[in-house]
Amino acid sequence: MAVSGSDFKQWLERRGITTSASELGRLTGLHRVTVGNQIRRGNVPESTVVGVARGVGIDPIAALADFKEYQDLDSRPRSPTAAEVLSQVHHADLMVELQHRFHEDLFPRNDKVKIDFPHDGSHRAWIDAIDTGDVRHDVAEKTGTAITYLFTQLSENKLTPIQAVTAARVSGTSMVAGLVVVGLITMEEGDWPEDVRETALMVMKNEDLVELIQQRLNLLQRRLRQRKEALEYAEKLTDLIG
Amino acid sequence: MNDSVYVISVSLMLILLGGLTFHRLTSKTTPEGARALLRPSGRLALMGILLTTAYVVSLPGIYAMLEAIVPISNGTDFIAKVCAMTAVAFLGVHLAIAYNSETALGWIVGLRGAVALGIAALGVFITLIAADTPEASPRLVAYADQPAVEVNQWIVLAYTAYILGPLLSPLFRDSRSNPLRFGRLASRLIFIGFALSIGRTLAYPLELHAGPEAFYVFELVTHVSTACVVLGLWAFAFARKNQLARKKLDIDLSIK
Repeated sequence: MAVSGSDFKQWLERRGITTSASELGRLTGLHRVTVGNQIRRGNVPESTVVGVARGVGIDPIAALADFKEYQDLDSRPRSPTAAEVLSQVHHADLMVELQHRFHEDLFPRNDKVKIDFPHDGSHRAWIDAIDTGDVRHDVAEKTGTAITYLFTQLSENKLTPIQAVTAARVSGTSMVAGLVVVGLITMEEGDWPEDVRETALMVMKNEDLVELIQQRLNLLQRRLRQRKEALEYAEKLTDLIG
Repeated sequence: MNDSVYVISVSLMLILLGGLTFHRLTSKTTPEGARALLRPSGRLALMGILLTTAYVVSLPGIYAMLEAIVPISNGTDFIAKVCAMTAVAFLGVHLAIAYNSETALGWIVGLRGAVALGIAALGVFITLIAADTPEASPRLVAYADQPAVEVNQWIVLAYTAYILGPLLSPLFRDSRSNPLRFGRLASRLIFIGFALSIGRTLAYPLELHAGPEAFYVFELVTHVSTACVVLGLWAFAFARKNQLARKKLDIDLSIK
């Protein structure tokens, strides 16, 4: 889902921003034809709104909150929970921390978390971190997405901004955090301190760290099994038919 | 005009079918030449040979030459049709095994499959005898307005639909769920080919209503359908030869 073309035009006028496609193209870094098409088709991606906002020096979150789909975006504290932050730490980094806790001389702690997000499975990990019950079904229902398609989106790290905000809305967490997770806004724009992941990792209790690693490894095991099955199926079929 | 369309489309089919079959039989890598015929994958090569034969003997020049040898008038058309139906049966078995479709296998092989092919071949033969076809005419086009010839054509189409019908569902499923994009494309091509072929069978009353002049237009549908199926099969062969599944469906842990 994206914002409508007419809403986008009205927003530009209200904010005193030019409606010229070439100027908008220059602000967003997109080709003017692309921007023109988005407006003409009445389907302007949130990334274009954010790009324009950045270009003219408006807070992207304030800009998005001007649209009815996101009007409550800034109604809750922006900062994420520790679980949300940790969901964006790759399991390889989690395991480095675990090794460090076993033997700090042999395995010195990394100053920085090595693997950036989004990483493989980071959207799903974030949903798991904010899930208070049935968040997937709620998001599917409220955004009109087929539940199976939502599962696929989560597996492929393709959660959309509106789905992320809806998920946060139903689970009562920061509505901005989801936009950071899906990569629409930067950590800085979402009020995530630069070392937020390192800090969250460092203060994590041993039992929580082990449990989180275990969850991630279970997920990794399932994913590897699925990939292996997919490979075997595709190879078998190509061998049999070809 | 119609004759030229027919010759052009048949020639194109021959280039496609004959070329791919020749490549399959003479390829230095797998399958190993004519030995491929002895293996399960040889079904495809056999299908290619039969289908190519059906198209070759339908070419006006060759058809006329064979008519001098065949004891029954237009017996060459019977040979071509039996070759085509047997090729379809081979294709059906091949795909039913690959897609693991018990239903399709039950329909195509065993007693039921043999009886169906036997009845279809017998039907084609009887209708040929029953029709009055003194002059050589590939696909019996010159006699298309005779009821016996109409039934003759319909039997071939109906047998094809009988074989391909049970395969539509597994093909459709795979065209949506095959983890390999190229595999989905290949299944989609075969599915389109099958759907066109079955569509022609269902639209046969329309074809009869349109009269003999429309025969070549409907025949083009069959040629397009055959091309789609052959290209789909080729796509699977390409995927196997280039090990696309292994290359595209990565199970490596590296995130570099």
